[in-house]
Amino acid sequence: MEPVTLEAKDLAVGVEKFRVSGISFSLCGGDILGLVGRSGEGKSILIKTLTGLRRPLSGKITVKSGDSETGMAEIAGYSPQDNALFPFLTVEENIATFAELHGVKRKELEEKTSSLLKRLGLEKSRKKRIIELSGGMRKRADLAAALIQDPSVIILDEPFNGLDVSVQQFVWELLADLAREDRIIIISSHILGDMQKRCTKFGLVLEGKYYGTERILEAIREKKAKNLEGLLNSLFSGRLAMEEK
Amino acid sequence: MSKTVALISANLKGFARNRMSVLLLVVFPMLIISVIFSSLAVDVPKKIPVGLVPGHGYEDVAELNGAVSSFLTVTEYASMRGCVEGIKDYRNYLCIEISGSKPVVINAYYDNTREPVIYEILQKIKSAVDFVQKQKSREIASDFLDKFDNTMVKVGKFKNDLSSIDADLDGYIAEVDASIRELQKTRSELRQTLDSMDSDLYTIRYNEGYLKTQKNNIYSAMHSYISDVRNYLSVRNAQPGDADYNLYTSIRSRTDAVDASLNNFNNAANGYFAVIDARIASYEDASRKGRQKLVDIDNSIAKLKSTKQNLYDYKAETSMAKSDIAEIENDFREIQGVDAETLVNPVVIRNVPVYSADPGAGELGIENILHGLNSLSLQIIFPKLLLLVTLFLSLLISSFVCVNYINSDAIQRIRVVKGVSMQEAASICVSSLIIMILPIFSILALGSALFGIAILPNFPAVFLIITLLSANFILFGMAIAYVIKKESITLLVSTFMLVLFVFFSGVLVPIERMNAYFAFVAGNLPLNTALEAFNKAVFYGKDVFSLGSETALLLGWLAVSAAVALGAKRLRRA
Repeated sequence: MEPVTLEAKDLAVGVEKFRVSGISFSLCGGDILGLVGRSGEGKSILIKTLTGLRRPLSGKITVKSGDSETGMAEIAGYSPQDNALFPFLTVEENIATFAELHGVKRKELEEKTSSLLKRLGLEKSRKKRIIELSGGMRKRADLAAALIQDPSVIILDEPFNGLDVSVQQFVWELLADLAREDRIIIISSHILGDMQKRCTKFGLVLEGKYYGTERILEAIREKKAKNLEGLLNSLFSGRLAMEEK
Repeated sequence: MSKTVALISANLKGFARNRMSVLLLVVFPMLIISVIFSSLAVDVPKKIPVGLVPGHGYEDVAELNGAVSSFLTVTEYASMRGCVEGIKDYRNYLCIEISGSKPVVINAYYDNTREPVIYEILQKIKSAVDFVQKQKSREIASDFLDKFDNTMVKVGKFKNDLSSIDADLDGYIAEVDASIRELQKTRSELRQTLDSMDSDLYTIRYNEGYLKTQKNNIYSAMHSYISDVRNYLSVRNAQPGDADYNLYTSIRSRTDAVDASLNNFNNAANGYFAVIDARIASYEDASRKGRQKLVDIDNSIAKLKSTKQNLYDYKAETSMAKSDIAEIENDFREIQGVDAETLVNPVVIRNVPVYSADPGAGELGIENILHGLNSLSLQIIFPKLLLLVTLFLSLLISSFVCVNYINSDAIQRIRVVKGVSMQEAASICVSSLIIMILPIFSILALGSALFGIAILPNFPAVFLIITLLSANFILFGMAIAYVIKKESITLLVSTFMLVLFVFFSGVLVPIERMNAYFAFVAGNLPLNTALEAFNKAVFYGKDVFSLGSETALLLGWLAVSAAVALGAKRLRRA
């Protein structure tokens, strides 16, 4: 896999009256960027902008695979909040459909599917329709669909909603493995403990502004917070503010 | 292409495995269609009650009752008032008063709140009356034609007699011609003879005149000499005894003798001349008579010629008579050739429908005629039903599939893939088309089996028209779905659009009743264009190539629908 880098510079996302600005970060293979913030602050809009589903209001996103610049769509696997699958298709049919859309060669499909299903523990469920699966298995199937084209960048929007702890741990382990394969992981979640533990970089979306890792670490120091979770809990409850008014 | 196929496959599998969608959009419509079509029977078993008031002059009431008994329950009323009360009480659909025989007049009093049924019944009653009328006419005509055949035999005999007379006249004319030629020859010979005789007579008379002149000259000269001699003698006047007295007396006696001889000769010559003159006169008289004969011969020839001319005139008259008889024969043959109706009614207006719903049935009986009428009315309804169902299914299925697709969870991942927008739209369109195949083919099969519509022989054209129409409304349904996005509202708006399209289809209100602008628009909308093309194909066997203008128009609408759908998709980022 070609080494991949992702850089966002002075990015602003959203719509005219609701926007998140000041988004700048730089990621490379192995990075796990954790996006945190209260509900409705704009994390999902930022994620959708990163996937290419929305256009940025300003700024630029640069993705490089090796030395050449490429588009996010070509190298990104996306797992939205709700599982993005055809509910009446089986797991393998879903995988095959998205593989076809991403241009995966048919010769490689069977092998990749089998390998992916094994990795995600879905071998026994490959012939089952999505609606027949539990929430955890659906998330696994969704990840399988996101990973079938072997993406260098994996973007997950609130992947743990409604999942039990064991599945959450499974997903985290998977993401860690994927990061170890020099992939970039971008994830948004409200489970701050795991985010603090697993992510290598952070982005805070708060009141229309984006705060990067350095500013967050600086804030932890400035606000004398115990850790990221403590800072965010204080910020979200309104006891603290990132910027002096 | 493979991406489109993958999306079509996903859409179709998703649709087929969603029992509710299959139930609502395939099974339920097919159930409705089956119920609708099975309710439309060609041979309607239910009899419709009508009242009958026999009027003046119509004598075939019993036969008419028999003819309509298969589809009507006829109650006879004494008066129209009583019958109309039956209509108002909904006991009768209509009251018929039949009167007259040539023509039969049917006064139909009907409940105009049930118009469509009434017109159909009226049509059937008219057919029944026509049928009875025709049966009667056939009987009369048959009798008439028998007599006619006898007349034809007589005419034939008369024609033969005339031919015989014509031949006789030819013989007479030939004989007269021979007589004329004979007389002309005689006249010519007689004229030659007479001319020759006249010439001879002229010569004789000329010679006679010459001889007379010569004789008279000689006689005068001789007489003069004799007178001279006598004068000489008188001068001498010798007496007896004179010496020359003997001579003198001798000369005198001889002179008297010569004079006497001369006078005798002259008298004899005059006598001969008189005889000759008499003979000449006789010949001249004969010549005159001969000439008169020539005139008589000429007159006879003229008379013969006149006779000949008369014979020719007779012959011309017989020819004319023959010609007249031939014309009469032709006229008779024409009369023999015309059917009963034409024979009985001097003017027969025949509405000749171009399309025959049941060509095999012919006119063998009232049952077949009514069967044909029922078939026709159902066959006429069928294309409208089919295309309306196509409209319903296209709009509803496509908007359902499209709105399901754009609201599906999978869409978020699909949208991440670049450059699949067209494939998405194409997959929805094709998926909707495929889903429609079963119900539409079921309707086509029902139409073919129940109503005898010629779908199989014209399948390429039918398939093309249905596909183009479906694609049009599928794209339109997609456009609605793309604009609205929400499932409930999309289906609601689709229903409103259905009402609009149905209104402008001409099914509820005839297009001809609309104002010029809307009539033009409605007439050229896909539904009506497809309806025309479909009718042309199944009723008149027009093939795909003969439906060029309709196909072009539907393709034009398809381009517009596609542009609207894709435009809506792009604008709404759906």
